[in-house]
Amino acid sequence: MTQTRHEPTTGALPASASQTYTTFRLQDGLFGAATEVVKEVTALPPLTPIPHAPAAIRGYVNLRGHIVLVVDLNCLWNRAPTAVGPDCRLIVFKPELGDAFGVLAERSGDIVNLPAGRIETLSGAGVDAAVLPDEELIRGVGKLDGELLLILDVRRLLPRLERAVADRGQAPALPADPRAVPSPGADPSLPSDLKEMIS
Amino acid sequence: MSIRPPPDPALLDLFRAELETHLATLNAGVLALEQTPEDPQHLESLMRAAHSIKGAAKIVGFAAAVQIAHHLEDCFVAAQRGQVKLGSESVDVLLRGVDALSRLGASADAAEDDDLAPASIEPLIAEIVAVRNGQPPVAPAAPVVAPVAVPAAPAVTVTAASQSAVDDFVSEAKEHLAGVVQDLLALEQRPGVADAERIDRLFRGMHSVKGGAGFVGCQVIEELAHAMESVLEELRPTGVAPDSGVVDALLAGTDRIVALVDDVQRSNEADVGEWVQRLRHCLAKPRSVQATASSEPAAPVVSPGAASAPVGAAAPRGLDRGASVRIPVPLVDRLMTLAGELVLVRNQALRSIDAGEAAIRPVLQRLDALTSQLQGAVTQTRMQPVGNLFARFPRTVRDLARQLGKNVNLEVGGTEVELDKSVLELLSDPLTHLIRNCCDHGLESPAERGRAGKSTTGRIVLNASQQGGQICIEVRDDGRGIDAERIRRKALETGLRTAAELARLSDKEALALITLPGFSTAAAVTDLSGRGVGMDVVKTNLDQMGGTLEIDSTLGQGTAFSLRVPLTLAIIPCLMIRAGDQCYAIPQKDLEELVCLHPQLTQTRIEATLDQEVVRLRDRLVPLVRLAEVLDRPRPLDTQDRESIVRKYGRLVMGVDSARGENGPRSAAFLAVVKVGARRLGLVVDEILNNEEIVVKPMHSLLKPLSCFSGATILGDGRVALILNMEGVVQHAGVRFGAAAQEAAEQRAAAVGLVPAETTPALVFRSGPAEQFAVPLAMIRRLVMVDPRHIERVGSREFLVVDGETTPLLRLEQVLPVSAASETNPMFLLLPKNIGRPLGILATAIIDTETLPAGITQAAFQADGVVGTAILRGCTTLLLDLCRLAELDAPARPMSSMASASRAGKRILAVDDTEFFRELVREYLASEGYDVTTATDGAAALQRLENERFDLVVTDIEMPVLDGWELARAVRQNSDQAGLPLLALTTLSSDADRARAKTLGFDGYEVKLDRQQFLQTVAELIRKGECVRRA
Repeated sequence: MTQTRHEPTTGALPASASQTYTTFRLQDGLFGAATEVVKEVTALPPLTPIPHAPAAIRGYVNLRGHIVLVVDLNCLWNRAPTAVGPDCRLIVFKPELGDAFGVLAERSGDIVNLPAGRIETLSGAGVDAAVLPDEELIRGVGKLDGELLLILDVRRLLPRLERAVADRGQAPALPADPRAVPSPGADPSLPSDLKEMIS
Repeated sequence: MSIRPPPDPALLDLFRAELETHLATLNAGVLALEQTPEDPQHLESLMRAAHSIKGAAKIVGFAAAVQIAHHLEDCFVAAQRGQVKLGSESVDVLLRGVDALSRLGASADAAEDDDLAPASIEPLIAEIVAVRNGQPPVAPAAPVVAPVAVPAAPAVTVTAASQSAVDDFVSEAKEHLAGVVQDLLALEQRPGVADAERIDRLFRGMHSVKGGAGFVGCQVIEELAHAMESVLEELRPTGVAPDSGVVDALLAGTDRIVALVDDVQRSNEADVGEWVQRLRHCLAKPRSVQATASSEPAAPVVSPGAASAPVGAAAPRGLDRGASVRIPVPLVDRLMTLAGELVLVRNQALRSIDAGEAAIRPVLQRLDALTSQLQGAVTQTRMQPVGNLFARFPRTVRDLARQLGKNVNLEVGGTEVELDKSVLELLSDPLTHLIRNCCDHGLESPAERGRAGKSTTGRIVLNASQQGGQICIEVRDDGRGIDAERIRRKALETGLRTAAELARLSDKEALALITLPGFSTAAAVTDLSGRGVGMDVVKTNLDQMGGTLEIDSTLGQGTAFSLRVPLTLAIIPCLMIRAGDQCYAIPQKDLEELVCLHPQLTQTRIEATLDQEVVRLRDRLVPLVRLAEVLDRPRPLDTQDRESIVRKYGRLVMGVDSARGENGPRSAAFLAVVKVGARRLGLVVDEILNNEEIVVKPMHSLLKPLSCFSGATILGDGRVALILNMEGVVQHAGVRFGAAAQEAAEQRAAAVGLVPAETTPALVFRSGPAEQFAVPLAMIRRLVMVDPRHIERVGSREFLVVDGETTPLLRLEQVLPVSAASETNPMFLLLPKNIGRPLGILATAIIDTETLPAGITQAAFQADGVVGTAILRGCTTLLLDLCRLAELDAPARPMSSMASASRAGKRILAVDDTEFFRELVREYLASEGYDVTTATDGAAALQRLENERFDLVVTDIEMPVLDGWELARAVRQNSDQAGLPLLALTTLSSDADRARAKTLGFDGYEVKLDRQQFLQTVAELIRKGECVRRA
């Protein structure tokens, strides 16, 4: 189990191992994080924005006396920020990953159990990495019934954000209107070939 | 890859803690060997320490550490037995052994550390073995520098045992003694049975007690323990339980020691001769297993101090009413966190529960008080004596002194002062740097010292003391001192400061330059220091914990570094403020004062250069930083950003945009004046909320680069708030301190012309119940709060002492047909400007300050001393002329020397955009018999001047459309009006303004507004004008 965590993005996963994933939705895409690194999934407490932080860092929340950093993957991937609504959830990760942080989800999904054999690397699934929202952070693609699960490499998130912090304020990373609510319709970030695979 | 599984992390932590304690003993003890190589006490404690490390290392499986410790122990044992003498030449080898052990403590994967792999420590072991065998050191540790200069034993003062060491000894000794009693009782049960293990354990236990007692200076306990140990040592070779007589003697001795340990402070006054004798006696007899009958002191011994021996013996370990308990650091940290959370919950409770309910109030108060006490107590548990940190420095100094060929004597004081663990950790690096600096740069070589007539041994004093909520740590040397001139030169050469900036610095401020990054005055970079990084680190670490550094130096006599650090970092008092729609915390330690800049005052007090706003606070110019703007910009502000901010608020301040509501009209500006180092800075915030004790949580590790914040906290309402790091805010905002203030002062006069309009702030107040009054602030010197009970009566007059001056009171009803002053306490005195005598006008309530509106009417209320009425805050308000009122109060004063006849027909044009002053001036002049025409600005005045002839123009300077300066220029350019006298009447009072007025052709300059003086000047100018015209 611990071995799969360290598996590089392109490496093969042992076919016998099976793992549960905590899934959540972002702009019609289904994402998953290995349940073993997820501490909890919770409603989003009031956010305190952090000036000077990159857009992907939405702020701090107080989770029962603990301060948790809230990361917005949509912002990290240069998409419109996740709208904070009643369905919005915070996926909080375990302390072993570093200082407390969590990612925003538009909606939480099920916890799914996938044998490693049903997870393919990007190349193995024949997915062109360039069309994914983020090649670096997607560890693999799991095939669920009628849907693809993009599996996040959560461990790479903090180093990735570290770069974003270092670059803050330089890159015009913000979409035109940061307050825009994402349209529920077509997802521009999900490539058409992926959609075909879903069907 | 390690072959064996890594040790349990908790175990490792324990090991490290243990190691640290014993290493301190080893370090101090080995150094002491240089002076007293044969001191049994030192050897004893050294042996014990090495032995303990060996045992602990074995448990966690660090073979290398076991080996090193083992050989060190061997050395000490050999020295104890007199087989070898550990002189100063051995000390280096031993110290390197100690160093190797301490590397273990620092390394997380000690078991895998190559340096400590068995093979790599072989040379070291060989050296130690050589020392143990009395051979000369295999390789000298350090090149021997100038043997004459290096004393065999640099005098290093090691302080006596602290109270905490004594406490530790007591609790340890009790543990050992409880074990000893149990083992002795077990032996007694089975005389003659072989039980070598138990006897060994007894010996070690007593040995530890002896060593500990010696270490903390309890000689009497040590003496008795030694006697006990001797008996046990005799028993060891046989490994057989002794007869009951011997056990009795041993038990009696143990009981006596227990009693002595219980009263450790007075233990040295006790006499143990009886017990020692008895132990020797039992030894002197042939040990016989069978001779139970022959044991003389067969009777159960009841010793005076140990009546409760069985109780003591039965007392289980850990239940002693001992003075201290060992608690793992993580648990203490957790307690601290929990106490912090409780503080938050308390704050939340206080905020959300209605304290008005009688039943709940006492409960809340108790909760409040108890939480604070609990928090204080828990904070206490994290406190450690600063001596723990200081203990390493004798060693540091010794090594450096040797390396540098200097003689250094380190004196350590205040070791008992306690500091929070986290502060102590942060202090370690700065102190090491400072002490290195003292040794390397501060102290001269012995030869140099000799030439200067100083003792060849340099002196470094390291002292700690508590001052309020802060700890002051001083590092002082008696060396060559720092040359402030050299610092200045260096700063100039390296371009860190300009010559002008340097000239303004005091010597002390110049010394502070050495803490700038990249600054070093050392002529040569040495191995130790001189790369210009050290002092920078010192400053950074101190800043991090909210500490300060002060440097004092006298050339040729020495240097003193004073570090001030807070007692604890975990909970700090903060001021909560709002900027934009978020709350932020400003640590109280950074705050100097809070200022409310009323919108009508801001304009007169905020000044600006092109890219920096400043505010004048009691004649000091303080740069302004608008927090919301700084927080809005993720990149550090550049000149362009700063310029745009100045423009934005410049317009707002002038009221150009506020009418349109762009950015919202500001009700008031709040200014938190903060200290940043020695500088002051005005932080403009949107709202000042409250003071709160907050629990500091560090920023997420990702966000460390955000220099504006030092941490986060959870507020009473459950929201997260960020804690501002003022140093970071200043850097981000790019504030230039000295330069900005200077420029602003210089540009002030020039910039005035840009200000288009002058609004007149006025004080609104009440005296009697019926009326509301207003007086322009410009006419008030001061406003003081007074207690009406202090009013004295002399004849018909009332007086009050204000600032040591007897001040006559003027009640408005005495000079105006208004209602009598209400009886209130406190009351207020308005002290008018420019009336030439003390006078206080009584007010009963201060309402506010307001801008005088347009639309002053004379019709509603006519009285001498009242300029007119206006609607302020919805009330008809009488606008007072304080000067006139003062005159009315003392009508006997001479008014003017000039006969009014000569004034008739003289025409004066009075120009002022403020209706109040316009009317005032008109009245003053009209009352003197002049013919007065008014104009509202320079342009209107010019129009008048084109068509009419005047004898004098009295003009304000700051006016819209065309200001006083431009008016003067235009008048002087027109040859028709060359002789027309111009009088400036303004609130601008600087010399620069006066000079400017003169160059522009003003004939006179009056500051608003001394009636007497003004009228006199007017008369003079008119007379002069007549002469010019006649000529």
